[in-house]
Amino acid sequence: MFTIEEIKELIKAVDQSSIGHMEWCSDGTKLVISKNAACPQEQPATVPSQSKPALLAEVQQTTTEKTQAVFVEILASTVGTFYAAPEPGAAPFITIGDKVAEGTVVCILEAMKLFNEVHSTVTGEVVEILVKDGDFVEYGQPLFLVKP
Amino acid sequence: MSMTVIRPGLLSSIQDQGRYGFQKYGVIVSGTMDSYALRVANILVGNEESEGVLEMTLMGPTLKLEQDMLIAITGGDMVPTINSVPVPMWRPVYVKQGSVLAFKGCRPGCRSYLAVAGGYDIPSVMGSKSTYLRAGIGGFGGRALQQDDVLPVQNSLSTRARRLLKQLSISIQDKEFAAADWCAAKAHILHSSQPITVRVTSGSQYEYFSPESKEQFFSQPFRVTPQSDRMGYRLAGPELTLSQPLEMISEAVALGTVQVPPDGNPIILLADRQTAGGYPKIAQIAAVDVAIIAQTRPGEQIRFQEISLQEAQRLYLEREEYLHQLRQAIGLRLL
Repeated sequence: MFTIEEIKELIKAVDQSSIGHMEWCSDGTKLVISKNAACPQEQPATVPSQSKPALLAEVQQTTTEKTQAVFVEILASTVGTFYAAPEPGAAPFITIGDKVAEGTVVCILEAMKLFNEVHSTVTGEVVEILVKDGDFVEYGQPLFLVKP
Repeated sequence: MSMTVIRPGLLSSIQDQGRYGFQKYGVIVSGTMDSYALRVANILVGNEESEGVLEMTLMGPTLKLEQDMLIAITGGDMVPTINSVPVPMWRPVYVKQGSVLAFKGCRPGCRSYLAVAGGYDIPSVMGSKSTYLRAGIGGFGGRALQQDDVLPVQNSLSTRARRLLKQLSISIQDKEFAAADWCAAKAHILHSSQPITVRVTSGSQYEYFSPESKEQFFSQPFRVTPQSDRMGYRLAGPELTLSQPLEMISEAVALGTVQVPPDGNPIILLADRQTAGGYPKIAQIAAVDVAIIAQTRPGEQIRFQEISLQEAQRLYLEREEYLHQLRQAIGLRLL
């Protein structure tokens, strides 16, 4: 968790650089600094002259306990196209409510003509499928929510 | 290294991409019926695409692998098992010495392909390891496998094969086999609905056929009769007629040429076709769709769809591009 001094330093550093948007995620803390003229939040009255670029600093302290409750994410092991079933027309590997064990194949990610099986990293019940068939996913993107 | 044939299956023979350069001496091309399955099988085990593989037809063999081996199975689904445990297809599989690899009847599809890293250790005859069954040339003793045959396997592995083995040996532990958790696409062969569509360009003598026959050829389904084999598939359907008699001198034929003998029932010429033919040619199957025919079983129905030469060429280039990317993708995985 940042101190106020650290946040001020960061804002100053971003302001003086050519960085337009910066995100920092670590241990349940997320810090977003954006040089965005059209910012959704109200500017405090003490902000000085308009010649300075408007800065929006937002600190979201989210801990896994608060928002995600006891759910664990299964993440994408590679970039690629998400497929819910082993082949077109076949039944999907898993649906909401299914029980999975560590190592169960939960989906396929297709990248560069290879179909990669994604294995569950947890044992539990699938409560949500976060992507749909045909979506392009990034490395590390959450795909499923599992209740252990 | 070797594999012992416990049961030979219906027709299991060594084939590669074919014997080229000798048709002028009357030596046919032979080679794989499904070139996509053969090439992918070789790519998956790090072989050259032109390496020989075991082509298994309709009912597959039972083989005992006498040493540790890296294999890949592609083509139609013969429900392959290793020591009775189902083994996934279209991916490299590391198998322990002494394992029994068994194949059953093919469904879907008609032919399955077994590639082994390093290739089968059989001599090249006239530049090819393909079996010319009718002449007894090439492959394993010029014939299909028989019970108790010992099929030799080469000892040397490519760099790629060694890297694949290294990766798979991490997960094998004390199991009898370890399959990669990635695979190549099955592509064309999952045609569960009939009639199966096969794309063709019009043949050299297409214009000589009667208007009714031309129309019927592209609108009616044709059944693959039991009189079908590696030489050609005899079809049954509407009888095709010429608008007038045609005196033809025998000329070249190609893999996938559809010719019509006087009885009006078309024949699709395949791997073991003769070197020249004198029957009028109504169509030519697009190169990428010959594999679809190879995976069609006698009794199934097909329907021809006309495409332009440009489209056939585009499909061909698309397939080559695909295989190129597949090779690259596997190479990158092994870094």
